[in-house]
Amino acid sequence: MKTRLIFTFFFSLLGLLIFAQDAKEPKKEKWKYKPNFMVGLDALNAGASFFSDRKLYQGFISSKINDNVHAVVEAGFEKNIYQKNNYDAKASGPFLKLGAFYMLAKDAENEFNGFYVGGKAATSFYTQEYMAVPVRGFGGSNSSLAFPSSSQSSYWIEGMIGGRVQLFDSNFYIDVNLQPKYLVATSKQEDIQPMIVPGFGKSSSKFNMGFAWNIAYKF
Amino acid sequence: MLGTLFSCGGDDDICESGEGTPRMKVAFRSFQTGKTITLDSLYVAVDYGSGKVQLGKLQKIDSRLIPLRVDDSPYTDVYIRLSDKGAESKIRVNYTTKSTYVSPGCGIKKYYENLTSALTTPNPVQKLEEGQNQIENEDKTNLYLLF
Repeated sequence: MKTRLIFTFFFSLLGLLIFAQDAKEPKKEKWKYKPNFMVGLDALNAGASFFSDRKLYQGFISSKINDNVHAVVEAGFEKNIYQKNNYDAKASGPFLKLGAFYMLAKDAENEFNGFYVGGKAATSFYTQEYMAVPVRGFGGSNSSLAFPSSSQSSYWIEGMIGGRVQLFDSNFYIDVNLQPKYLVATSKQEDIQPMIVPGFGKSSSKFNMGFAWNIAYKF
Repeated sequence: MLGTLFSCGGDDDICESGEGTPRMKVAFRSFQTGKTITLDSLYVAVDYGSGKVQLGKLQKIDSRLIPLRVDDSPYTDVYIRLSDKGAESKIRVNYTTKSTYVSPGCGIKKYYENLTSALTTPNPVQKLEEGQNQIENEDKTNLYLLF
């Protein structure tokens, strides 16, 4: 846990540094409009997967549609366990998100630099297994029930608040965004509210906050 | 960056009282007259599978809620005393259980059905009378102890 925090902290600092540098260095290069794609991979969560039970790999492809609107497709895979409060569960599966974002503020010299807000609809089809769901009792008489592995699906919407900045004069960008999420619907096994949903995270409450720290390449 | 601040989880371990497994309600009657009586003191112990657990003394009561086992055992042994060092009655409560999922915090709740009780040590409890033979909530008396 501690190594994971340190790792996260390191990325936070790196992000600050790069944003700071961007303000000082005016861009000289000019960009012409053309059909474009940007492909990114979430480096922070992929890295954090080494230190955590949560293995989260995600990436995105975005494309500028018109002046300020970009379409975005995100896909990923998550494997996670939930061992808390007498639960013992695991879930793994792919997820897919479709959406668009609007550039709120952008660099005059590079329209791909800037801050944006947006929204996405997301879905995950995954396998879960609940090895233990607690039965609450008294006097130390807790017990649990196990449920076999099953396939489930969940649907949620998520907001997107983030920024994108070019790394010096290269085609590489850093794209950082926050993802407030709301779980709209989920299939359930024996009426049991899933405790973890791949791509969504902990799902015992309908709200969750995710984040991505992407390194992206613009084609 | 800020995401790390928000990434801590929600309150998924809080189970509001009243949503857990219901307890068995016992009330007391006089062996001679059959009338409801109030006990000056009552000590209860329950074997949850690893020996007797003392649930302590309650005074001036006309009923008491006793939690039963939530594991797969088909019975719970309940021990009743009127005073700390006094004689102890053993009651075996047999039942079948049903499980229902409640919430993330509470997990699964058990209901008890087909309650039948047997008094194996008839002192100080003289006799048992069955009440409501299923436990779905804690409102109705499930078992009467006759002293």
